[in-house]
Amino acid sequence: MIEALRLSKHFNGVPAVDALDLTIKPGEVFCLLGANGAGKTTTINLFLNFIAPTSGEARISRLSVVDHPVETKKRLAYIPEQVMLYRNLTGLENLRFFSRLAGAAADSDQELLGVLAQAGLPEAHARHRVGTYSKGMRQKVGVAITIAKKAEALLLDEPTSGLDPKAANDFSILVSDLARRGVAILMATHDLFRAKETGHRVGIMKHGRLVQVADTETLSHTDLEQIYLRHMHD
Amino acid sequence: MVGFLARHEWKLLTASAVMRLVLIVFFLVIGAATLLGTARAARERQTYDVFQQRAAQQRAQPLSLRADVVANEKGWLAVVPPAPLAALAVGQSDVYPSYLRITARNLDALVTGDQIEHPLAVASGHLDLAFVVLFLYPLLIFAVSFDLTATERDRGTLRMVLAQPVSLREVVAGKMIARVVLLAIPIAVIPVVIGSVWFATAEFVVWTVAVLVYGLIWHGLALIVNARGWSAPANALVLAGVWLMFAIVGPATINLLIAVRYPMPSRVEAAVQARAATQDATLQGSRQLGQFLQDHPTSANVGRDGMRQFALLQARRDQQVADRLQRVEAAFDAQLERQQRLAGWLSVLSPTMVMQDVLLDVAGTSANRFEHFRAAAEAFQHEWQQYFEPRVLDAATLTPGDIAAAPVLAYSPEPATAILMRTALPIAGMLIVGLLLLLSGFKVYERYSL
Repeated sequence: MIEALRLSKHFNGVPAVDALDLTIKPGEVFCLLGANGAGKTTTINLFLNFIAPTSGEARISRLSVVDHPVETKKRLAYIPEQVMLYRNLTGLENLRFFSRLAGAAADSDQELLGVLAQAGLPEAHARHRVGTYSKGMRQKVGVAITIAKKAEALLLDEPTSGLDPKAANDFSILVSDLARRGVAILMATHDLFRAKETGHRVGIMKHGRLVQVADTETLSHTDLEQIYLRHMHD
Repeated sequence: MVGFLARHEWKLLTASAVMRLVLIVFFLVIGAATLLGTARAARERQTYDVFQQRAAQQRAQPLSLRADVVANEKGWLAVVPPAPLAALAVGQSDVYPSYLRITARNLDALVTGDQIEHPLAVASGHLDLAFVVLFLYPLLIFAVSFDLTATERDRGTLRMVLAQPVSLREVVAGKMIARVVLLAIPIAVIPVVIGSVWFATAEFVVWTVAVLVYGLIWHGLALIVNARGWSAPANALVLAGVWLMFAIVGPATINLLIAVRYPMPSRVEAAVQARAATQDATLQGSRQLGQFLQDHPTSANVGRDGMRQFALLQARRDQQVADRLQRVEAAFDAQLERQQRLAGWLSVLSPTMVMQDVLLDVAGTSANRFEHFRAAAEAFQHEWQQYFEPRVLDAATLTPGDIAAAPVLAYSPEPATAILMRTALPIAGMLIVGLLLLLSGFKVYERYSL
């Protein structure tokens, strides 16, 4: 479960995230939409405990990320827009490093190759250096890390930005699959189409505030676009 | 966790082709410096052994039994034994004489210039392990540490790592440990492997500890610069400046300050002055001797009394020379002492200067060792003079028993414990500074922005 309780972050007195209240249940994909500078990445940084909140609390699996940084990160996975791995190591070696770092049980080549296969990366590629990977392949290693560490929560920051439609679709399928495994997912994105397709709920963020939350079941693609544009023009 | 991160970092470092090349060059330089030093030390030991053998032979079978010949013309050649770690540092051994000719007249200290190496060799210096440790080791520490986290932060890898249950402090500690070990192992192990049992001594243990402690200071400086959060090129630029300041410009400035505060002639100039003093006194003495020889044109009319008179004249001339020499040497030594005292205070501003003193002291090639030898030689010269002077003035012919009863210089270098005690304080000081720098680095890293 991912929770924000009156979560705020101010930079030099200017609110980047303003009294955010949010609960994402296990198995739910919540897509955070908003213009550049709306506070999406700051929200993710707060959940990662990369920055301290000005007030309020960010929680992963009911644990405060500030009070329990190690425990919450064991339960948390993070896939940024660019999954930057160690270029001189293979996909398999990268997965082993990150899963060991996370204290994951899977460690043998067999187990890790199985995890990479679940994430859509075949063995032939898994044994190549990451320096030769496309962005989509690196995203798959990111998903594999999430699977290997059996994360309960996943933070995605613009994950489909720059991916071709096929790769973006493949990635969305993987995200949906993770949600079906019970992972609570917060995805910050500009991609309204993917948000509607992948998310269970969407939230529109503006000037650090969550100005509207909607259920994707009740919206068409056009409705979502109109709501988004209306908020952007206000 | 830190151990795991250190092993991971080790793997990354050794996987880099550039890093492998840099390390291979470093290994080769260490190996070459150790090999050259070992060969040089072997030559020194060989020379020392030859000197000792010849001296023993000469004592057993003297060519002459005339007191003045034995006491003054042959004299006693006091040779400083090779230092235990001479192979690791040339130090002052190319400036200070490694032997002193002792006669009943004086101690040829400053004027013994024939054994000093070629000035060009002294000016350009030797490649020894001390040079590698003092100058190249810090440079290499900076070369492998200028990009601890900057590129990983800029590329986003650091965010991926820190999204796992690990702190930035642990990540940085792992990186530091990998680098400390990667560079410390060759500098500590290669000399042992190449020098084999030569270095299995307490001095070498202290040498190694000093090297590791010295490394901590440079690692600490690198950590602080990295913690500021600048880009990798900016870090490299700043660290290059730090190296220049502490290793090159700082010591040069300190030397300049000392030279301005206590200007003094160089050792060579002092030797020239000493020679001039000797020549003046010799000229004066020679006039008196010339007069004596005019009065005694053939040896037949000299007689024993004449010989005694001749010896007395010589002794007077020698005393004049000794007095003039002592004044030149005393002025030189007093100024040198003032310089050394000031250098001792100012050297704390440069770890390279502190470390140089420690390394040379431990290696046995510092000025301390030669001063200790010189003091022992001086004490022996008094004994030698006291024993032979009455016999020379008496123009005596010595018996084998007289020669056997003559004083013998059994020189014992300074005990290792005294050297270790002397170096303990600067090593402890460097350790404290190194640890403080590392702690400060980790403290500054707490504000590191991702």
